[in-house]
Amino acid sequence: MRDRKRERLEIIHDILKIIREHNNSILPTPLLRYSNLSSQRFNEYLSELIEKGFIREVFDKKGRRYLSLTDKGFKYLEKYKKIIEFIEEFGL
Amino acid sequence: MPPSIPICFRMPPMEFFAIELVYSAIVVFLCFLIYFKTKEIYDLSRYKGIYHFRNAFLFLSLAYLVRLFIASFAFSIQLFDSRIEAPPNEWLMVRVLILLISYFSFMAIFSIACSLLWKKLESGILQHDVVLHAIALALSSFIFLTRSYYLFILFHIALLPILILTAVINYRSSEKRGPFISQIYIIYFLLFAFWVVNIAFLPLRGLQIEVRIPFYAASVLIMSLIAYRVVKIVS
Repeated sequence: MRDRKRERLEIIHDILKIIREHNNSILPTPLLRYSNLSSQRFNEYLSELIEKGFIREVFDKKGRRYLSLTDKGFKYLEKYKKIIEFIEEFGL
Repeated sequence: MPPSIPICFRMPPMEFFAIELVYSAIVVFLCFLIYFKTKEIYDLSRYKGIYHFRNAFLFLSLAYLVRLFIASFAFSIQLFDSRIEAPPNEWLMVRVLILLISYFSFMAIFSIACSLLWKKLESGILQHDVVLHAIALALSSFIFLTRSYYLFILFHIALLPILILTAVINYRSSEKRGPFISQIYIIYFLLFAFWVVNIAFLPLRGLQIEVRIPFYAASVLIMSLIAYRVVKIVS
């Protein structure tokens, strides 16, 4: 259990990391559970991440919606540490 | 009687141009380096603090470019004929350049302050970029209309304590602090203090190159320190 409020960048990182750790394909319900967010906040983040091209929706033959990372999503995970280090170093 | 050559077309000596050109080129290069090196992390994160940080160096680079024009022009007048009054259109050009440099300079200072305080400004009117632009434009227009270069310097000197105050507020409210954090506030302050010294020295008559060079060197050193930290982290 985290003892402090997660910041926006950290929440995005956590959501993307969960998808990556599930072989880059996960249903929205387990993603909501693992992300430790309220349903409303989760949907807001998910919509934003899809809209900004970090996550794409993939539908299987039964019409179930899976979530996968795009190249931009992988790039974000790769650069996350640098972004945080930059913010902390310059007090931003 | 031979036609008189407009003052703005008369050339100052090469050593002055060389030093001003090299100094401006280095500073503008470092500002653009910081701006472009942080593009990727900003595109990925859309983090407001990084946005304002980048803007600060973009506006500072534009201010230094305009400064080069003003320095060349002012030095030309001082060197060749200070007794002749420049035609009105030439002074209008100088005033327009001062309007531009004021605007870019105020925006650079506001942007660095916003990069430190953006979380506290989120619910206020200053969260909107257009408000910052409007304040910078209003101050610049006031300087333009009053024709006072000293007012321009005075506004900048007045903004420096505000910059220190934003740094103090930021430091007190930071949850996470990198090892570089206490130094970066001093570097920010020195960066803008040297900028004020730079612009304050411009109209001084007969300021020797030997006096200018140490200031320029210190200014480049400070800018290089910031650029070095940026490149080291993002590369």
